Amino acid sequence: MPMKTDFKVLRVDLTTGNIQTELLSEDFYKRYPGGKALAGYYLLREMPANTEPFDPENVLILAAGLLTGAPVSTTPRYVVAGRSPLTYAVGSSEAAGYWGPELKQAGYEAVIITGRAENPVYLWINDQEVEIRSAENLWGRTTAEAQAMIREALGDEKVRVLQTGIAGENLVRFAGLTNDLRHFNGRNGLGAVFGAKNLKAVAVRGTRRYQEIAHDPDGLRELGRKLARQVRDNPQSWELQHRGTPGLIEPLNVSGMLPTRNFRQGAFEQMEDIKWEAYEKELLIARRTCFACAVRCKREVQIDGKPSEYGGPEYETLASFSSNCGISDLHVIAKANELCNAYMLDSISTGVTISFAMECFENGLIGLDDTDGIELRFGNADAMLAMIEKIAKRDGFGDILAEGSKRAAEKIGNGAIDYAQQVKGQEVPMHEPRGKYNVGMGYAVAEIGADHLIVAHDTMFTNPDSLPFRNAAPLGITQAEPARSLSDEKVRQYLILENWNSFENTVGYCFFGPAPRGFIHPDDVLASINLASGWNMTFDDLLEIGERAVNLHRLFNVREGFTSKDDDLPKRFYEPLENGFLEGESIDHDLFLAARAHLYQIKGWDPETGIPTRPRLEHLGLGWAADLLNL
Amino acid sequence: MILYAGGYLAFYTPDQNPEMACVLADQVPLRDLLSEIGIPAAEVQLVILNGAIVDLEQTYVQNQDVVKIFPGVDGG
Repeated sequence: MPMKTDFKVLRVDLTTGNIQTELLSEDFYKRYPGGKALAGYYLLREMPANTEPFDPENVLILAAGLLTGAPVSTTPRYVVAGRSPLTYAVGSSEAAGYWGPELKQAGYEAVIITGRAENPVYLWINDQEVEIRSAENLWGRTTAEAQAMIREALGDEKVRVLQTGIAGENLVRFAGLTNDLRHFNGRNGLGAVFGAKNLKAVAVRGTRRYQEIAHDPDGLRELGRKLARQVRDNPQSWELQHRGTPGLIEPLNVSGMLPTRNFRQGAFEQMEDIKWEAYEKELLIARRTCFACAVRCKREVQIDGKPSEYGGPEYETLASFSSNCGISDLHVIAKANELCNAYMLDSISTGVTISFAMECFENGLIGLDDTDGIELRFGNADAMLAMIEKIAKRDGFGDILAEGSKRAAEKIGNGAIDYAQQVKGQEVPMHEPRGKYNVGMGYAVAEIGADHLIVAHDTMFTNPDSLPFRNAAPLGITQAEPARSLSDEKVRQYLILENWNSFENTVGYCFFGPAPRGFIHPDDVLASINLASGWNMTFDDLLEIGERAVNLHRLFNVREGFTSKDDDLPKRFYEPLENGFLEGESIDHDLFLAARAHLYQIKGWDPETGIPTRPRLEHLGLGWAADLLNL
Repeated sequence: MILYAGGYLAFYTPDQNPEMACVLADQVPLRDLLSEIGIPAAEVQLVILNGAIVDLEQTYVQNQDVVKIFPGVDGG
């Protein structure tokens, strides 16, 4: 056996309190090596069709990946999956930090949680000892309070706590999860699924080192050391270490791609107040990192002169609450970030839902009578902070916005849906698709709804001599293409990049690790897999792992009635941008739909319906899934 | 002139400082200046000369200019 582990999965039924473990075969794990792929397998196999997201039958999967916790930078990630209460599609959200490696150290590849506890509980995994404990005293607490109380109760400051917050307890449809208060499974509302199950947290402590299970521990350690040295020699990881993601504000603004005022505009006139240099001066106090990662892209900030318990805003949070809501006060943005993390709201969906409401207000679709007397206009910082509180607590107008922008728009009516920037019900992140067409394609077709980490972004592949482009060559990207193009070659590149990211989300790699976005050359990515597993895989194998996971997610959606009509962008992106470098630019809808049909076709899916075909599924070893859906 | 190397382009500047002052004897092609500093032109995707977006290949700079350069911007 190349890997020295028995691939253990923990099953917890919260209704009965039953706790079991099961072992996976290595052959099985090789096809579904953790994360997105393993979660996709179990969701399709074990969740009954038409399960309501808040019903006990919703299956929650917490899955580490093959590499999660390895001594290699950028491999701390894990997936939380289930049916999303925001999209009603497959829900799958990754996070970094420390929880995933700790789960692996406790000896588990995944935890499968079903049922609903009668009263609030948390799960305590202490190596092989597993216990369901009361969380009644934790309900209603901020995430910082709850984490401190759990650690105190367990008598161990090093316990890693994955938890939902007050927003999840209140079933806010875009409530997320946090581990160590600074790392977030933000998207898809899976924190509300925790809340619906009366599950406050999953606390973990483990003692098994990754080196005990690796096929070639010495080789893996040596590779990890080499890669740690490379962090400072690579411009992309150097940038992440020095500035973190807030460094994106200025270049996106000058490129006309900084979402501003609910995506009407691409440039923010007060950008100088929110760019990296201002962030560094006003907020930054320290840098932090995730498990065993030399990149150190996390920021620590101060609010009102005191260090925040929740870390600093990332780019997505920064843009969604600043330019997107027309607000330029960094201290307000840091406060908004803190509120989201204390109550555990997805900061992207929160910001974009509030900007949606601001546009509704400014256009007279709602008024002070609707908003509890709050002047919900772009630029009103107090209104934005008040609305975050209201959403988390489902108070007044916040109860409507807690449903997400799509449902809120349906309730408001009068064309409000045109102001809801969402796909499949999930709010669009902070990257302007009118400047990056493949990013737009990812927003449209992603099974989880709009997300910015579906493919590496178009702007990295426009110059054949640039470092990101050269590093993508082993993946099969050898022809430079404009960012604003949907040529057949561009669609082909989309497919490669989607499968590559899906592979990363399966095995536990962070988006900032492997090239082309990160500093790790694909040859070293492949080496890390083979040193860990001994499986002698090829690039094609890695891409196929990613493709298999995408197909599993697609099949989940097909079973739930999703069609190609759900794979489209909001109307706004087919209309011209109002300002900035891309002023007047829009995406041609017909061209976009033609490119989407071509994408379906080269995926081996029906070009009209977007449903995977049996031959492609059988090629991927998913004949069982084709049988399940009668395809 | 003032040169601001945005995004990861600051990695290539002396002291890895994004902003630097350059004293020029004469008007020079921006591409040549970047080459002298050690910033690969292939990594430069956007050039702003005195507030206006320009084409790197057509751009000459002189002492009173303010130039900002940026790489292709990805997400995260």
